[in-house]
Amino acid sequence: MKKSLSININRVLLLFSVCILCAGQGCKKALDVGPSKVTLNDLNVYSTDGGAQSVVAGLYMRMSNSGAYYNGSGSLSLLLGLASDELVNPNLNNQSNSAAYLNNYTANTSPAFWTEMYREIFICNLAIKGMTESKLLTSTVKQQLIAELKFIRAFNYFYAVNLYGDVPMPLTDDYELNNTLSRTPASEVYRQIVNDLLDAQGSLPDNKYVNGSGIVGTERVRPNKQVATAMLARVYLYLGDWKNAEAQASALIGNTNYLLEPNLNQVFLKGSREVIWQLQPVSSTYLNTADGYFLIINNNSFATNGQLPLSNLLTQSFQTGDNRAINWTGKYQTTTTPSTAYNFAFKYKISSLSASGAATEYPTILRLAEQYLIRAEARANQENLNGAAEDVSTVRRRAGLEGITASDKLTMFSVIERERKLELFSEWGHRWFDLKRTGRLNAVMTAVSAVKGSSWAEYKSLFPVPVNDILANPNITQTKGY
Amino acid sequence: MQKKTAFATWNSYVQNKAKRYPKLLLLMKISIINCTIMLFTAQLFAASPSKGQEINSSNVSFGLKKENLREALKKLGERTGFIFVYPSEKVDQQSGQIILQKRIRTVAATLDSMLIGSGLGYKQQGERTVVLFAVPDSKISDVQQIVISGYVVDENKNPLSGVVIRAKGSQRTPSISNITGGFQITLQQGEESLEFTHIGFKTKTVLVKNLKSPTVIVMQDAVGTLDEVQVTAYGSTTKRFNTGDQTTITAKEIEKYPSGNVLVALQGSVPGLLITQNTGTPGSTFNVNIRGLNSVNAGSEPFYVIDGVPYSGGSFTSFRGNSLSPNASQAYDALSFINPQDIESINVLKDADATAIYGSRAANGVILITTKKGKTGKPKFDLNLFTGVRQMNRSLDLLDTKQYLEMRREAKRNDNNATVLSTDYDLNGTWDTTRYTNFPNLFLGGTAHSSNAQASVSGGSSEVQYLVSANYRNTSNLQKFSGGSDQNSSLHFNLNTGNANSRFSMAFTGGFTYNKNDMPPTDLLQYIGILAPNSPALFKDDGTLNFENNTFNNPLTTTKLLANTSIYNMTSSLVLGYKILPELTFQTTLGYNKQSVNEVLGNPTSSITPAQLAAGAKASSRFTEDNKMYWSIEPLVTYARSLGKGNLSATIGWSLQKQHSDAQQLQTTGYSSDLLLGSVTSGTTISGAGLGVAINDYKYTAAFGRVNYNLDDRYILNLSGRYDGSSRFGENRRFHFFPAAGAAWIFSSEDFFKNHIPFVSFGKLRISYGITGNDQISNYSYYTNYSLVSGAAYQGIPGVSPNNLPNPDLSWETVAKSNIGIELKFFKDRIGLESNYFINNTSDVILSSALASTTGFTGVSENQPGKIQNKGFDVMLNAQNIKNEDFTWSTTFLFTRQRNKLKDYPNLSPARQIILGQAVNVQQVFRYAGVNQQTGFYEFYDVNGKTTSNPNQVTDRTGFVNTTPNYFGSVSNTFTYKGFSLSFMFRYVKQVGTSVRGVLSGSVFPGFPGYNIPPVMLDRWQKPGDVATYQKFSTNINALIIQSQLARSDAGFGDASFIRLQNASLGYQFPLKIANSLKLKNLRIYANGENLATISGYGILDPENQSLSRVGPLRTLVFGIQASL
Repeated sequence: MKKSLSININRVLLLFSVCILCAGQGCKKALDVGPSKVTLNDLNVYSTDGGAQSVVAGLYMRMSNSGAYYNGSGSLSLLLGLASDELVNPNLNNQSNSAAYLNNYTANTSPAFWTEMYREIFICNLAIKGMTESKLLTSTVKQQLIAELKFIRAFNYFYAVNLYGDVPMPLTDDYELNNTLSRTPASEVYRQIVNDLLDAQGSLPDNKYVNGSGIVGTERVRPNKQVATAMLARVYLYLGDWKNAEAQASALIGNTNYLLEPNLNQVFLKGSREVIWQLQPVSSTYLNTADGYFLIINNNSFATNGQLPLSNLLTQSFQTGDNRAINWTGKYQTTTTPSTAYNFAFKYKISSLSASGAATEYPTILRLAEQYLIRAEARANQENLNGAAEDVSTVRRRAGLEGITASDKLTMFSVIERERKLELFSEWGHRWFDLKRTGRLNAVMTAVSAVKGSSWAEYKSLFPVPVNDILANPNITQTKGY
Repeated sequence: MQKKTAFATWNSYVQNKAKRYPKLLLLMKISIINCTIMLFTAQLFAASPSKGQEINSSNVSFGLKKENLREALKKLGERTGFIFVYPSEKVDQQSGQIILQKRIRTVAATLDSMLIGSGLGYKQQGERTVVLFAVPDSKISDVQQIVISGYVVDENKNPLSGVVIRAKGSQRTPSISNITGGFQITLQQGEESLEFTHIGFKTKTVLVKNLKSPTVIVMQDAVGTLDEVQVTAYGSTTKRFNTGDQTTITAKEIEKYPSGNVLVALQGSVPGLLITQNTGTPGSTFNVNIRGLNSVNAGSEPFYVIDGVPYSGGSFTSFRGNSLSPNASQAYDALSFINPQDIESINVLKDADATAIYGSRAANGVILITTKKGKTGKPKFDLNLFTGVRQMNRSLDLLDTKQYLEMRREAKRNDNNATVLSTDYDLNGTWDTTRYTNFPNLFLGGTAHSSNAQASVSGGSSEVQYLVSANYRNTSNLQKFSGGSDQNSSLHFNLNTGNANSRFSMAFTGGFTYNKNDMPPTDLLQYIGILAPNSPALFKDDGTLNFENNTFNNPLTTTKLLANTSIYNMTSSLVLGYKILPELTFQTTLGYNKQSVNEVLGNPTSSITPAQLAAGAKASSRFTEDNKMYWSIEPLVTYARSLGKGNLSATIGWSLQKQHSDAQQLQTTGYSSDLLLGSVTSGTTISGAGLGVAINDYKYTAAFGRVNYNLDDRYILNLSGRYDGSSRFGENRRFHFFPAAGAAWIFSSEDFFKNHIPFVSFGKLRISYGITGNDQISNYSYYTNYSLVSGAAYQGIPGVSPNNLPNPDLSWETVAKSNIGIELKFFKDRIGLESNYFINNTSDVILSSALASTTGFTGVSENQPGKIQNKGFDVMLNAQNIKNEDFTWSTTFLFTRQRNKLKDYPNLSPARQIILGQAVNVQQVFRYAGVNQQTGFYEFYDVNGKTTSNPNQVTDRTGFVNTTPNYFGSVSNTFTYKGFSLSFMFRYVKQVGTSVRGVLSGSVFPGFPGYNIPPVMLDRWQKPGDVATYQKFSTNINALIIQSQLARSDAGFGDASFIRLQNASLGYQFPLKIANSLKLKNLRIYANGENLATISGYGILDPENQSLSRVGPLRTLVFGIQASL
């Protein structure tokens, strides 16, 4: 009995150890499934040029699709147009438009700019890291894509800092770190913006628009050196670095690839020679531009559709004979009784959702007219009033108005402010930012609020951080006043 | 060579009894070695045999063509040289003619065959002489070796094959009863009793001395009894010795249900198991939950194991959207493809002791399905046919045309006398205002037919057993306008080899199912509330759909959808065993399952309205191709021996599993012809839809073990553990150990108990604690995955965007389960009571932790210190109320009460729909304030307690509703009277659900053109000052918005409790005499019903699925016949 038991145990032990050996060897390997084979993931996306290009293409598609601040109902063009004095809100039930129009955003109802900007910044950080570390990408592709990503990061931070003041500045994809960031002073953010833009300017293709695969095309839908230059001109202007602002703007104004389209109706078309940077429309909802849909009024139910008329404050500012009033604004007479007339922005001409054929109008982000006005302001600040007057006159003449002559500096500033208002209305919140950076926002908004029937307070020049961020990140403070 | 013959006359008392049980019974032969009693004169056959022959070892090739016994014995004597001595009177009484196929047998076996039914026994006396005698005529104790033959039958006198018969305490190869229930076993001297065991029956022990002739052993049903074999995780035990909380449902209960999904049979049958059927459509999905929701975000499906091989439950990928499952495009419950009639038993494992050996997949409980296996005996053919009808279980009543038009006019009046619009076709005379169609009746009042045919053959020797069964099921569409049917064919097979004596054993079991469904994915229920009763005729005179000059949106366009769904399901399991030593067995289970879906759903031109066609709409089609493959290898070593006063058994095993699935869902639009809809490439645009393209791999590996010690059949300790890892977890936390301990004390075996409380025939207390895990999260979720950005490719490059933040620490949710249970039997097991109290605590809850948007996302999936608690108790009471020879009545009562609570949740964001201290599935709702007496609109309380008709979706949801059932259970009664059996089961659920009002408020808008309402909604506000239940009729969009808020308020929920006659079954077993006269072994006719009646205050819809878009579970009634030959 004893013997047989010991044999048993020996045999059992042998068997067990064989099995344990097998299992032990297999354990780690046995669970290795790798990432999914049909989706890209952080393990494989930057291992091919195609994957890297798709990530950057995905970013442009996000921008082009997104209702949050590039294009459409949540865009800066619409919401800041409402917040300032450009647009009116005809539908009080539209909570998001009402909050913008009445300047009564709260932490609970803050616009989606913040989350969208930081999502894009995250993608830029993630992709810059992934591409930098990848040894498998073609060097030219890698260089161009990283430069584009830096440009997009700078572009986002530019708006972040102008909308929210000091902002957290994540530059990595480490979420544990990024979840605890406090606000970085705006000056530091600007330094980062300038550095990124200079990097981009140095690495992006010069005087040609190259797609992600390195092929030169005619559509101006990706950043190149000139796009970075245009953005730099604007950033220097906002920073008060007049010399650099003038230099960057001059580089574009002197570039024969760009000119002010003589026909105002062609400025926002695909292929416009005035355009420095557009996006390719990709949305299946808005075949052309979403802004076109929300700004053009052509039926009685426009208010329910979220469409926004121009304010009288704007339309009444046009001089007689200003072709911009003729070509860039429209009037809709409702067919109800009594009939009401509404003015609307008519820069984009196509409103229809399901226009057939290829898109002819592209969402436009940077165009040459702004560069003239940037240079005018930079020159005026450098006491070159004649040069400033010349630049303003160029823009005015294209609109069918007479040129202006130099007067005193203060007058010149107000001329430039007015010219920017009339040239750049309903585009990218220029009006709001202009008032804010020139210190005139309070004065103007106090007056405008009286018209709107709302109340203005100084803190409203900056927007509140979403409540979710305040709860999740103990180090971030709410924007003052909210 | 023939010598003298002696004949004896033998007066035997056996004769009378033998007459009473003519052929059916039985003979008992006793071979007596030292027979001293010779009460007869014998005629001896002299022979010249070779020396030392034994009838048990000498072979003879012998056959008979219709001979009487005397002649047969004579011939056998001539052939073998044995001398047969027999009582001649007795031998001459045998009127039967013996036919015996010529074959080589031992002499004894030849005699056995000849003497069946004769009442004669035999014994060898000396070298040559064999004495025949009537039995029993001697004292058993006198003999050294006894051969006993007899028959085993069940309580209904049906022969039982496959019964294992052994001498109690012996280690020899047991005998197994054959197809007619017949058996023969040889006993050695000193063996006093026989033990009969059979799955599903009480083990029976009989003292040999009490055996009577004829020997008929009646085995009693083991349902609810203690010693039936109970399949457990990686092994088996008995109810008596199980330390875990486990409920077994056997084929006997399952076969009462005509449903194609065994889950219906489990509804209400298992304490702690809550099953909800989502629709009455064939293939419907179910929500299956054991002991509450253990998770917020991860799955809560139980883990299914079929014949030892994991099986993915849940739904198949399909575009048929008839399910409530998280992804509405998923349909078809996976268990629909396991033929219920092929299931031998289902074991539901609940506590940690029973489940923890499945480690990180055990958190939500385990359902073990054991399919039928081959049984020893001659080939047995079974046929089971049934056919019947299926109907809606309640009819819907809506306003007639007159009432409807009055409602429409009232709405116009309410809206400041709004003008009748040119589009108000129902009102402005475009449509005949006197026309009336009862759409609920027309669409859903029909009857579906369901037929099922099952045929099986099984049999085998003690070495090899086999079973093959085939099944065909056809269910037609309740909705006659849609047509089509669901057809299911399946094949099940099993091949076993090896017996108790052989070292090697093998069991190969498998099944294949092919299901074809060509019913359009249309549920017309969703249209009945949105059709004016004076809608135009559905069809034109030529039989085509009528659109009444584009004024009528004919709902029957959806019935024109082409559908063809084919599902292939294969399961297989191979168990190889090798007995290394008597106490040590090695076993490997190899499994391979494959599930494939191939689906085409087409929108042909006929399903498109003329208006859409004019606008350029083209035919389109959607395609699903999904293949899931699953294999597993599980080697296992079992060691069992006695140790001290008890028995020790230990199991150690390994598991290696892989699941691979690849799915494609595509949509093609722009077909030029309906004939091409089956072709993916024949349209103009092909795009991904639904899942798109998804390939998933899932791997799993584990080592597990269990030690069980049973001391004196009184104290049992069971320790188990599993160390496992799953590829779904992040690299840093893949492996974990899941231990469990269970202990049981059979206190009724204690002497003091036996002596003092004798009416308690069994009492067991068990307690268990253990840790289990939940890995039901999606694959690859710890990586950052990039998905395609929707929209046109940017400069020809499709864009991708990261979906989530990576988390290499993502891991299982942990569920610690405690259970205490008591099992009692009273009055010789006549009354049984089992009750369990459990607490399951979930920790490491996977939640999206709130992150600041500066991280790029608003959260990341993380195991957080959140805690969910499920606790409750259940009771199962069964009683044999009456039990006598002809009549039995038994009752089973089940009750389950469960509570679910979110105990802890760090940083609970107010935007989340979960609340601390409430159930995890609690819904946050507006608090309803009534109908404003002035405005006639619904009002709700806002966050400040003020009433408003336009509450804020985020801040004003201050009430909450818990839709977890309060309690549920069932009451079943079974009666048998002779061949009749009758059983019915009432299932009850006490719960709060979306009320009829809530369902209607979200989908039916009284006053708007086309919306028709049930008469209950006539209790509405009509003029200022009215106190009403429903708000005013209106055609104003604002009224619609306010009304739809009601569905999100506490008024949208209400009591949805019900008592349902879940099952009724009536059967009649024909007496064997009649069956045999039809050359059948068994004949039974029956009627089975499912969901026959519902008692509920719920109202016009079904309280189980609470829907106006999916028909509820159908009432089913079938008639069938079962025969064996």
